[in-house]
Amino acid sequence: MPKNIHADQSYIIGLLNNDSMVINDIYKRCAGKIKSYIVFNNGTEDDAADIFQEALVDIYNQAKYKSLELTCPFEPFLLLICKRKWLNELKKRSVLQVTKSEDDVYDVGEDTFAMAEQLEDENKKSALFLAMFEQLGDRCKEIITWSLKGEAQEKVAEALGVTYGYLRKKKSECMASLMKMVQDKNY
Amino acid sequence: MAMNEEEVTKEIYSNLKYKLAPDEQDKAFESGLSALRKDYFSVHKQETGNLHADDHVRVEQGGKIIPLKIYLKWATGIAAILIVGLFIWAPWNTNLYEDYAISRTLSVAERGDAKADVLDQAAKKYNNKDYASAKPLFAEAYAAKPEDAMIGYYYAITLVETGEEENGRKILSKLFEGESVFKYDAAFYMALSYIKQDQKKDALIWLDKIPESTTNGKAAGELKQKLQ
Repeated sequence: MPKNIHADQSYIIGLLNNDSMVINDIYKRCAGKIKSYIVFNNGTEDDAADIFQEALVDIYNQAKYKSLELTCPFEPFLLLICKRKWLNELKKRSVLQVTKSEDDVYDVGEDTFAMAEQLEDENKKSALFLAMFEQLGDRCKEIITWSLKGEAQEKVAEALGVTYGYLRKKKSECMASLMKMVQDKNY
Repeated sequence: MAMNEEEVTKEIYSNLKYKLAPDEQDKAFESGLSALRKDYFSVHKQETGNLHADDHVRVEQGGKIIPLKIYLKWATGIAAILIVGLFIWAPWNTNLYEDYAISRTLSVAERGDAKADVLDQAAKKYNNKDYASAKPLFAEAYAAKPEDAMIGYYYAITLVETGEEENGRKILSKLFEGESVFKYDAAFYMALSYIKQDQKKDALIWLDKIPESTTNGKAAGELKQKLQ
């Protein structure tokens, strides 16, 4: 069944293009609301700024690397993500939540919840990949990082002081190891 | 389920690229956000910190010691009542359009390109309140992308500002019928455009369409009181 992509996908495109008008408008519309919510829930303006920026980075990241397609309005989607991030932060700080914990502050539809859940799941997956990457040996970490930079393999082999053939084989092994570690964690 | 090498590479790339090897576009994006942070989250750390101060901080008021939080609530409440009262009764406040106009500035990030594109130029003119020069630039951008709600919204404002209220309202009306984030801003600007032409009845019709919970809900309520 084809997805019903919302008109607010234009905001996602604006973020991807680093469009100053779009981004400024997002801040204009949403920053104040998030600031109020967080400051009235045991946070500071710095906390609000951090959460807001992290949320936008998450959305950008998912749009660029995982082809995010919005099926809900952008503003409630962003606000819900920020709110959930803050509630998670409060849990980490072991602070009692002041407001009700259900998502009742903003009038959001089911699609918005679904999209926010999807983003959260993708973030958790990325966090797991990163955690497992950190457990690899230094050589594997080096090879995978070089590979992510998109450098030509011949150049990488030279930089690492290995043959091209060795690099290709090692890269394949390292990636397979990483993938297995992630899968073993039941993602 | 077994994945082939290509699928594994794709999966690792999509999950780790940003964190481990951000490209220039990724870095520019984050740095742009950091710049905006200062504009929208100005530091009032001291004030916020004080409002969350513990209840043992006291002030003296009329010989009585009351908790700081209660004092602040009382003081800000009185101030709010005074401010609202002044807003409602201010006899010197004749230009409602200018006083309640919204969306007065657009932020223009500096780009590395030698040529600023049409929208950048339009935004610069707009921020300098040179609506007459901004208008044709927005018109060009709007003609190329009529589905872009943001371009439509700011173009409509330049039309209202330059005496083409009717043309501006056509675009604002379309925005109101849509579901973009400009929906209720467009309704508010419809009302303002009628206020500008001293058409109070039409202004009130549009102010009624704006829910209280929206960004301009409070301002719409104030305007309605002043117009009735």
